[in-house]
Amino acid sequence: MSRPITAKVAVLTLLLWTGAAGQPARPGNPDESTSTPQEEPLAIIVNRKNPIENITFDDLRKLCLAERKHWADGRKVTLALREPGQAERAAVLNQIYRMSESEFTRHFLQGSFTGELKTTPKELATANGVRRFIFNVPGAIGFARVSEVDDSVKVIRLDGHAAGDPEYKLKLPVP
Amino acid sequence: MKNNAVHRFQEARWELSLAARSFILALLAGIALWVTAPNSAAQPTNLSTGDPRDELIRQLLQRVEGLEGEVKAMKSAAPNNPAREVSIGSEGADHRPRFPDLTFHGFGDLNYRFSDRAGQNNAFSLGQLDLFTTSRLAENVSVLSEIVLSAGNDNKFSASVERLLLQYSANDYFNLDMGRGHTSVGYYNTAYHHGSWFQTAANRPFIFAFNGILPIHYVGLSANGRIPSGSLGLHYVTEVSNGRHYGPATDATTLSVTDDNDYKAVNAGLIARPDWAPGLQFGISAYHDWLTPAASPRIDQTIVAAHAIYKTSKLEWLNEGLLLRHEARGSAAHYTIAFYTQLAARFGPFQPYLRYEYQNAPDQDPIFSKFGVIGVRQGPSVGLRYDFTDYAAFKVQYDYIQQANRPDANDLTVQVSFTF
Repeated sequence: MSRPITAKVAVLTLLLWTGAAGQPARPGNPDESTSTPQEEPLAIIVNRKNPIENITFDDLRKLCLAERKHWADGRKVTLALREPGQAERAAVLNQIYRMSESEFTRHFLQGSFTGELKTTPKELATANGVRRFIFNVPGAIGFARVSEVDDSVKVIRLDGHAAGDPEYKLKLPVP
Repeated sequence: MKNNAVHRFQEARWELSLAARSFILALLAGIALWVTAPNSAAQPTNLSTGDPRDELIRQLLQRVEGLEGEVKAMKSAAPNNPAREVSIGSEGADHRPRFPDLTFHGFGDLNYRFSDRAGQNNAFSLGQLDLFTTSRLAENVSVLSEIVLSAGNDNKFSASVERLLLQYSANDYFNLDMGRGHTSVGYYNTAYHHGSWFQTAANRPFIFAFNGILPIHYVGLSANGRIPSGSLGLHYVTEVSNGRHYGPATDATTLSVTDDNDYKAVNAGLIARPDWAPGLQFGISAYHDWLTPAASPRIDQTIVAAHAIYKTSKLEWLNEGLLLRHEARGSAAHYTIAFYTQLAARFGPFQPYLRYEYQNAPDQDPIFSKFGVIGVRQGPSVGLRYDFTDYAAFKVQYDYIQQANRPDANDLTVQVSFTF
């Protein structure tokens, strides 16, 4: 009777040890254990055929507000955003539009009513969907976390800064 | 003891059996991985060991090679035409616009008005039911229509086509609207149309009132677009239209089908939205027409409008001024001055606002003297807008109006306006 119990204790000890060994090392900086929010760059992505390499913040805002509706090569701008409630969309509304969700809705509704705006931004549920839409639509522009960008789209600079540069303005708060 | 020894022997044999089975499984898995490794695809002949599974693997590899060839052929056949690009997934793949599309919005409002004007009873008042649709016919061509159902002072409903525009958008620098729309005289007339939900206040400034002193609608052509101007953000607008009919109140003011004369009204405007001050807009426009009211010589009408607007999500400050010049042939010119300023600030869903309006038409004005709008009309308005949902607002507004040759008036309007 004593042997199975001893074996069970040994196995349990082994499991606990391996489990503890599998844990990441405790961070040396005590600040890292707090809930201080970090930031991840939010990349501006366009179709790979779009010749643009860099955009100024003012021009980006005009594109987003649909005050500018065509690219320099004449292609129509189509904006792809994430759906309401998603962090990427909230960052774009906050940092580029400087609007709340209801103000954003009203902006495009009023633009449609005055006849100035003919289309509204395309809303997509996932980063994959945004990438696919931009891959398929030559005049599309959208936003995605740097970690979610792949070769199907092209990342452009903002005011000459690449996503990840300290001076890069467009950032996504990561809790 | 013997039993214990047998038991231990059986246990050892079982453990050995487990270890042996695990080893064999691991060995098989390793072989399978080695066989299906990428470099093995390049050397399929090495698999000819007589095992029937080798034949299956060989067939699968040949199938994969065939499919790869087909994909390469499809890619090389696909030119730069976006309509033939290969989709790489489901969401986001449905990108091709379908024409014609159709978008509908409705606007409405209900009012209750208290007034101490003679002959006006306090009453509920059903506002306009505004049926607004847009439809894209092609990438650069769309249609905008706005049909309003409303009741007049006789309580009878009527329908009117307030806007019907075929719009062509070549690029940011040239857009052409054809049909009936709102004239680009000033800011308010283009920013706010018939849906009262959009406007902060319960009503339009009286200088921009429907059937007021200005030509609110046009039937004709309008071209507009950006002007390359760097950070100044200049835009232009030009219009050619039938102009406005000034006549008895029963007459339609917009010349939708016929014109009073052969001359066409022209309007040209310049607007700046500078990059360095988001929300700021200022502009100027000049409108000219010949008016030929019945039993009257031809009248030259010129309207110069200027505006300075600052509008953000928190603050709204609208300022507009008008100068109207009417000159009957062989007579002196008469000038009417009008302006308003409106200030509003938003605190969450609440938006208190103030407005002051002024209009002064000379007694001898050949147009306004016939409609009883001569002299000074002025007064302040104060109100509160409460957006109790994103698509519905409650407004309460008080107006004090001083008008020449009439007693001062006090109006209180309570309004619910909405969009759907």
